Amino acid sequence: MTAYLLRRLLAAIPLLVAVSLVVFVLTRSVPGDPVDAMLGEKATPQVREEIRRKHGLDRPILVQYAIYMKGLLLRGDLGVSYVRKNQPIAEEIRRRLPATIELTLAAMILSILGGVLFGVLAAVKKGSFWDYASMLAALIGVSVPVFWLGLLLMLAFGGAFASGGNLDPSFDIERPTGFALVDTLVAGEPRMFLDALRRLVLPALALATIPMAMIARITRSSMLEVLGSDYVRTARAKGLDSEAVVMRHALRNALVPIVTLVGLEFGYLLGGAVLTETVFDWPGMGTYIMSSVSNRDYLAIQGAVMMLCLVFVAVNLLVDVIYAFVDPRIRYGPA
Amino acid sequence: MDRRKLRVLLRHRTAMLGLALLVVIAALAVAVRWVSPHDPDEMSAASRELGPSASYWFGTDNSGRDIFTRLWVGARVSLLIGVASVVFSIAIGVPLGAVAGYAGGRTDMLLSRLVDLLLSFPGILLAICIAAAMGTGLRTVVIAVGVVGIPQFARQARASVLQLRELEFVAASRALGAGHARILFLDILPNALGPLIVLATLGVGGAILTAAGLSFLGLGVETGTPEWGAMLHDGYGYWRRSAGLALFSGLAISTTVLAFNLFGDGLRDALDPRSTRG
Repeated sequence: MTAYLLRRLLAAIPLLVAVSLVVFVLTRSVPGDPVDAMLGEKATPQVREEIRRKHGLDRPILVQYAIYMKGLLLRGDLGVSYVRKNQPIAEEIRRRLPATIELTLAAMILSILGGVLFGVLAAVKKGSFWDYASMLAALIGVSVPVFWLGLLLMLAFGGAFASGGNLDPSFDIERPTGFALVDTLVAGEPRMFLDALRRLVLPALALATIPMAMIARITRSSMLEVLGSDYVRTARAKGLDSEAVVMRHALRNALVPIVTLVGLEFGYLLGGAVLTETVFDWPGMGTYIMSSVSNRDYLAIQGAVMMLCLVFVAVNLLVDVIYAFVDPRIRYGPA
Repeated sequence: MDRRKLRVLLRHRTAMLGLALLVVIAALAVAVRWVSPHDPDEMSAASRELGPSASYWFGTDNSGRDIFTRLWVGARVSLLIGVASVVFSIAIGVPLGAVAGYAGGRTDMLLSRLVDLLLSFPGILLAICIAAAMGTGLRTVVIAVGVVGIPQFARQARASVLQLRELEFVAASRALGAGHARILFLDILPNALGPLIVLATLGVGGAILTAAGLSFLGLGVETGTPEWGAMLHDGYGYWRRSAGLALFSGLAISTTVLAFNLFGDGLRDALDPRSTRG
């Protein structure tokens, strides 16, 4: 297992370099001169040249990349925003990333619970009303833009659930983790915890719907395949009751492809969170990217997208490792 | 497509529903100028944010423009983006994957790593990066969304080629003296079309969704263009006052994507007999 872990970790390094390089080069090649964004167009050529030198903008792009990554890795520095006067981008991201991850995790849990439940239900009652209803819901689920779904949910349930932000702004508590649910619990404030929970429900539901639909479809087909296999027939022939067969024998094996899918879903959820946040004024990375886009604050876009992509690569690595735990064939397979 | 496959497709009720929806959407997109008396860009202060009525079927937006007319003019833009992005993904992804699968060895490894790299990004984030780099506009959206779609076509093409290149007709063609390019593009690829067509149909729906997301973030087409994602973005700005624009543009996106998904699923059942409908 250790050898496998090491091999995966080593393989992730070139990937991290490549991903960060692509993000860096793309977001640096934006139209317009970043110096204009910093100084306005009226600055004298001398001042512009000085700023350009100070920020390393006169160096080759690979050197700029190296400087940027050195700042990020050694000091956790992502530069300062040109538009929001001198605000360190890393600080803003540190404040916002937990909110995005909290939303993503909540949606992930919802989508797995719902998806597996609907998928198993559809497979066990194949051909029934439940089967068709859950598959129809799954089909519609994958066709709806997440931000529109969020809007519909607000129209329908906006009265019942608070929306806008992840915590009532009048609550003045310490935010050691940045996760609203955790911080309110740590502070011992059940009223605030409930407020945070009420604000989380709709955005998490909106974000969870599409992956829930996909997980339901995969669970259904994976369950159907397993339920038709010989060992399940043997289990039934032994006289086990149907529930034991489904839950203990079939579902456990049907879960293997679902674990992979869940890993892939994380990326979708992270991207979807960016879109969902903007609908619910969620104070995470998505609203940050959106406001940076409208402010043409490219250094902020660069930092935010960079962090999200790095988180995504790290999570995929984690999923691979978990997968190897679940399915021993992977870690003993050929390198 | 041979007759048996066509029959399966024609009898596939949900696929035919999807096709019918697509035909209606396309027909309205083409014929909207004859159906509706309104100009899509005509603003009027007197008729702002009206609800649905006999003269404005879906109501008006906050500039007093007719939502119904703009929706179907927007259908042209959104469908164009969806189809063009998929064409872009195919044009790059299929040769990439096909060459990787055919050549094998180092070429395969190198090209596959390239595809893996694209897959290491959450799709919408990659699209955001590209769109931010290129600036707003139709061309930007097509390229940004198209790049996100490359890996799935590359992977499918590679998998099909890997499978087909071992078959006898390829050996026969080689024995007759055919070169690599001829074998790959004229012998192997035509036999790999089925899954690619399915993927392309489903891909148009996905591309429309991604493009709508970009426009919703303000990175899509130029402001003022009647495109569904951009209209949803505008409508979102004042949905508490008047939800019509946001509701109808979102409904248009969802219905169209659903139609592509329904038709794509049916195509898969018809073209790929191994897939089980359960």
